[in-house]
Amino acid sequence: MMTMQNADKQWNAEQLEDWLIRRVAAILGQDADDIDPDMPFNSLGLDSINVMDLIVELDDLLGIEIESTIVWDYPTIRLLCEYVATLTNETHALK
Amino acid sequence: MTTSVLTLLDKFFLDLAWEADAPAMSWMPERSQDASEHLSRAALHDASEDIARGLLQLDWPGDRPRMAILAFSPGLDFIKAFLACQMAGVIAIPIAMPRMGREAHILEAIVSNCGAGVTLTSANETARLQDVFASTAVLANMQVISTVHLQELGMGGSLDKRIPQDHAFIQYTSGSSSLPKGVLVSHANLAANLALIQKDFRVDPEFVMVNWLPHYHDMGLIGGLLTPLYGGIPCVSMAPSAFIKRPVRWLQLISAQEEGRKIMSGGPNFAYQLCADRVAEDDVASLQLQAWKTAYNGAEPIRALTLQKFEQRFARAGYSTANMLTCYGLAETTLFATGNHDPAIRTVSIQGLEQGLISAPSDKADSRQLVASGHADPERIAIVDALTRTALEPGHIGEIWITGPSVPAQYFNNEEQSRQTFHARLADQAEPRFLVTGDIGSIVDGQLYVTGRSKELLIVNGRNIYPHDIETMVQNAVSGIEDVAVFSYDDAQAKSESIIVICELPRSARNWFKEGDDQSLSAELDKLANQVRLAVAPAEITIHHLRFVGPMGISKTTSGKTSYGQNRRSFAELPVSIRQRPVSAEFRNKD
Repeated sequence: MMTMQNADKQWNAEQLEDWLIRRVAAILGQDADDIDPDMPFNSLGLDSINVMDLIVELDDLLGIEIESTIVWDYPTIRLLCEYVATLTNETHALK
Repeated sequence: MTTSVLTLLDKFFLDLAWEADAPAMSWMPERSQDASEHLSRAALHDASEDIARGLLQLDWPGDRPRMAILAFSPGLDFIKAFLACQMAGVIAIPIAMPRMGREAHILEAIVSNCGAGVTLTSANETARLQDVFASTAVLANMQVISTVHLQELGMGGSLDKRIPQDHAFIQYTSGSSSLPKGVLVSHANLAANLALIQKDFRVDPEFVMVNWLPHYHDMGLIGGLLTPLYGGIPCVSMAPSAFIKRPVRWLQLISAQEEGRKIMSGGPNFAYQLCADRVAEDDVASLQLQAWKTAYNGAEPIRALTLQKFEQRFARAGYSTANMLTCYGLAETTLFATGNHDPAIRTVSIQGLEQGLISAPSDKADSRQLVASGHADPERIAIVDALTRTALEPGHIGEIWITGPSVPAQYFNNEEQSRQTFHARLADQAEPRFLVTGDIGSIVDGQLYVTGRSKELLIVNGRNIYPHDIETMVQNAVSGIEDVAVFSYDDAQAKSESIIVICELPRSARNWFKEGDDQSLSAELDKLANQVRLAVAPAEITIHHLRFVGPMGISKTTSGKTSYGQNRRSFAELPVSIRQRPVSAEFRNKD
């Protein structure tokens, strides 16, 4: 599973949030400073295909498989990153 | 209403008696570490019956039909609850799972319309749903009950308190949120439609259904879940979002089915387009699509280009357009109206379409490809002139009217709309009653061609102009426009209807919009506006107002179609000073 080069790096929620804010800013063509991590993805101007693309990127970055449906339960950058950070910790704990 | 065909439950009980251990419903998780779940006919029956017994323990008000809202995440819990409602004589009302950040007003409107006081959900969703409901006054008294709780409550109980119920479920369509339209489907309607699907899809016991569509959508519920149940064939489902995340997963699930099984699986046109656009070439090599004998495509306009591109990409995996089944239907016909394999594609004249005729094009610029939506049974489908209410000859375009036992009789608690929609009659015939679909089309060589929506037809100097055609003209001629919506706008002050064109621009165009609420145009947008006007010039129409918006500025329905009604309303809400200008621009005017 851990095939990507970043996969062994341990990411915490804050680092993930920085990474995701930069990615969202790039997709939206905005400054990272203008992205509100507490705003729901659809209010940021992302459609469901954009959001799923980001989940695929997170999968590759972390070397895990994130269930697509969790974006409905954690619908903001901050909530999603807090949740995903717990997933990576579990994965590392298992190693 | 009587029917000679077996109801869903009759058929399910027969299949159960025949082979109780046969697979009925499976759930495929998207992560490799999660286990798949399987329910045999017996397991599905037993769980559903316990939930049904539990439902009958509840205190139901005596003065109104028993009904329950079904709010479930993707998974097997939904179908158990749905069947339990059928067994208990409770009208099921499937809805999209209410979520944080998702607007509650549609749900409020549904509850106000139907008056349901009970919502069924999964055990792990109960607390969260209670929070969602508690946040709004209309929903605060809703009783949220988990099916696990009902199952425990019902074990060892009886079904004696069951009151037979004519109606199976209500399908709320994406109508306006102030007046939701809930199609009230009877057991007889459902049975007739399932029998029709079985016949026209040529379902036999060798098939397996592979389904990713949402269960609160007519195509997902009746097509994806109830069709296999009625046909006595296994159904394997995955989450809709798993398909959106990695479209190849759908095709991989089709490829993974047991050898010797034929597969039926489908979705709206966009699903095929998404696969054609996004599945990697390396992944195509490992797909096995030879057994995919019924690839159905319906619920939105079917595009010849999509069909061609999909076959180009996946022919080497064994897919063939001969196995595609294009179809037409709507919640108001329960689901299915027409459809057959190996779709006819016809090149027709755009000028002819404007005159209400299907005819040969005069040259290439005048041609447009139309994909047929299947055989139009003359007993059930009529093409009607809206003014004279008389049936039109083949080749003439008119309103599509549908009759037959699949067609329900009403929207729940909405008499006015019910009469207009479900009780139309031809001028010279007292019977039968017809459904006015709101779509227009024509029958040629026995095939139905859907050409647009009657409400969205623009009539300019006696010519019928299809919004879709103008939208295509703009998209083909002007680069850098993500989406276009064209519609008529009837201003009370104006003498005639105006034509409004909304152009959605990509995020990269953000800098072209001026800061603040100044809706005037930058030099770049000015240039674009001229290109748009030039593009529509051949149609000889005048754009009364051209509006540029940012990403998601064009409102869509839940199934991704342009919501003309919503866009028209948004436009109407703009200040008159803006509407009267020839152009306006606002980046992200709404979220």
